[in-house]
Amino acid sequence: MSESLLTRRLEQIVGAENISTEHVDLLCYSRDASENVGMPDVVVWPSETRQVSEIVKLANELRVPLTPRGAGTCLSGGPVPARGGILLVLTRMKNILEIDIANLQVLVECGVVWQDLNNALALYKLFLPPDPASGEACTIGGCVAECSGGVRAVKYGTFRDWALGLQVVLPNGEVIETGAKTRKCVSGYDLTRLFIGSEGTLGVITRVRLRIFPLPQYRLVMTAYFDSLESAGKAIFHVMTSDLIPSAAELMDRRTVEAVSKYMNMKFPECAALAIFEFDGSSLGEVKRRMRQARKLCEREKATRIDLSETKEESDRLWRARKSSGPALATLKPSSLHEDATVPTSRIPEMLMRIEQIAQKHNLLIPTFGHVGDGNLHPIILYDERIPDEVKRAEEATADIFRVTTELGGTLSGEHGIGLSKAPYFSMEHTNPEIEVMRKIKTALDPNNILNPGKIWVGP
Amino acid sequence: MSIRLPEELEVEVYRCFRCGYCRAQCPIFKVKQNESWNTRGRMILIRSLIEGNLNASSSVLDRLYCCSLCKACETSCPAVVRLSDVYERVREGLVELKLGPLERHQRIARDILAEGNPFRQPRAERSSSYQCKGPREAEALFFVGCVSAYRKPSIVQSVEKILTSTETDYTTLGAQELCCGSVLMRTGQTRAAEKLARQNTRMFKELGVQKILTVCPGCYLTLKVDYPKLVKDFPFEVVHISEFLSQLLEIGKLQLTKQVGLKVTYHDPCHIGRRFNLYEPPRTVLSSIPGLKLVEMSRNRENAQCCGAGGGVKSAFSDTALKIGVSRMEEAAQTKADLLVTSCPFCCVNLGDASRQAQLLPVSDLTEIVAEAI
Repeated sequence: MSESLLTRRLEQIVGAENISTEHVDLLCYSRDASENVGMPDVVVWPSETRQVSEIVKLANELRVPLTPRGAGTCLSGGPVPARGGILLVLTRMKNILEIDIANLQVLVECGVVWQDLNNALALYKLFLPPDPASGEACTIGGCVAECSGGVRAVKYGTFRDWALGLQVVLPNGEVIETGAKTRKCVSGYDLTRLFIGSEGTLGVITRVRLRIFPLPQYRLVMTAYFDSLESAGKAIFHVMTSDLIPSAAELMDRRTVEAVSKYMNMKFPECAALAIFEFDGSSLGEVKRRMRQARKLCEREKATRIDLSETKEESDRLWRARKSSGPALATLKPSSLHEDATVPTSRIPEMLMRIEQIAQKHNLLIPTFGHVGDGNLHPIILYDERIPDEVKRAEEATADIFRVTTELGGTLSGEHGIGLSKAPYFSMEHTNPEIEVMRKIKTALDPNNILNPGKIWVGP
Repeated sequence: MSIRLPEELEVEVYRCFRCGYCRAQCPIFKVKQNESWNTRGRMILIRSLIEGNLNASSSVLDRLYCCSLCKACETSCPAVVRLSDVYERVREGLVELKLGPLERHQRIARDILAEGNPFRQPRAERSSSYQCKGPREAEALFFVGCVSAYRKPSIVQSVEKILTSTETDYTTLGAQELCCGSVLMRTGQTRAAEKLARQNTRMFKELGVQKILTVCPGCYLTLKVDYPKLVKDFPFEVVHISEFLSQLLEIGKLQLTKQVGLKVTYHDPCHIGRRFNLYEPPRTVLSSIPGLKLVEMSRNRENAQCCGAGGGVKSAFSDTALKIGVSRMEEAAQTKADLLVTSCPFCCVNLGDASRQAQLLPVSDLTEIVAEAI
């Protein structure tokens, strides 16, 4: 296959102005927000499903790898074209096709930006609850393909819980519609869930039908400071096992707080850890009651200070600070690995302790923050890629964290996906027969291994 | 050839960890929809230039120069990277290595050094629309700026009407005024800008003024931030007209008495907005005009979208600047305002061009509408 044949055929499908083989473009599309790199041979911007289907057919015919990409905010290398080939950028398919208020659902093209959708929904006092930190930039298609979560997943779940149906271009170019326009559907295998979180390896998601929800009238935020990480973990656990149903239950450890306060120029009281809770609802009295209860539970765990955010501006500032945790920590050392190991909520205090032990054992900084309410931690392994010994220790610490995660009944990834970053550790969580089932599904749908090869597991 | 940045800025480049949040803000990306024309892409390119893995080809230069330095990306950057500082220093580095700037920017530099303005207009014609031919002794210098002098004489007339009616003791440099050098600073041509800074500063000192009043945010930024670095001894108070007008209102010297029965929306110029937080003075002034109703665009103040012209973009990438301008004017049209007011002659030019092309609402400078209300 000559590259010119590929580009000529692609030009016939989308027009010359919608493909690029220029080095600058390839370079800028060789990365996502993870440490992974992979140069595509050609970048293509389709604008409709028909074009996507023809491109996938062409890739299959010419046996060229094809990697779908949304906004490229992924933290695991999902949209990085590990084996070159076609990079299919879906951001121009960005129409909101239908806002169905009667049935509380929307139909969108895959390239719709999360924030744009929520802005449109807010006009009807509705919202799509899962809220990845990258919401201003990330696309709905990417969120579904990676099964994104976010801060509010603790109450509302991840994209898996909100997608009703998908339009998918299969690796042979055929277009299928999964799921139904109904809340309930037990008609055959749950293909929708098969594609959600499949990281672009089974098909290209071109349209998504999602449930939506009435926007809560009130959102109150409470911050509790603790002088030990363990008591913060316990306080969050107590709140989670009560009937208070927070819409966020987040934790930041001392180093995270320090890094964020430096980079966001915000002052926080001295503490070993802080917990942020959000309560939402349509009755202010009820929201306040739940917050008061949570306050008591934090006091019982000897919170050194508890603040309530009185205004939306204050809450927004706090959330912005929380969402900047990863980037702020990443600036402490030249290199960082952002994990999203997730354990059952009851094992959180133990997991926090074990991460501290791992950091000590390998003599590394591993600050931790995250959506502790749903067991989803973000330990950030900081190291210097220029020092071989540190790289080695960082790799060992990563493996240790995953080992402990699985030991505690957890999973390697709560919301970032396996991608390239965690593929080497995949077999720690899954047995060979489990992986074999996945491989068989992959082979059945994509016998030529065209779609996003090299992801999830190591090997073909 | 790899590009060198001072350590403090090189660190900034490595602090970008490609989260991509800037996609939501960058006005260039908004019209190009291609990552290599976005802040994240530029940072990838700059990193490769530093590491010596990339040649500064014309494609690379286009990406690095097609940025209006509007700082919108910085409002969404969770790592608070000093992106526009990096861009300006990279452009300077490219010029030092004789790899930059773009041909169009080189020509502008030649024109400025020859005629004192970037428009290839005769030096003598600069003050043809001025009422005060200057220079003369006065408390304040009205530094007119090239865009007002050559492209927007109505702004000069409005400022002079305001200054006269408020009995402000002012002068201009008349035809002796030279371009402030803003476009040179923004395109990395620091040495050429330094020449202008020295010559202008010498004239400021000879006049004996203490206060320099600018109507153009580009002049404001350059005089206020760059001149003190370029010429070291720069003992002048630089004031933007929007600040000055709001001060005059406060002390009762500016009387706005005529009814202006218009619904108006205000566009924040990047160089006084995100750079200096001058969000409220122009709004205070507008709100003081009898009969005027001020409505906000959905993106305003620190979230305002750039007009698309600054940083050398309009001169080298006029189509892109115009498209960005049209998208901003479309936001303005959504407010159903009769008029868009801004406080920048250059925004006026670009948004005016965009408005004519897309047949949207008219555009005025703050000084023009204030002069109308006197």
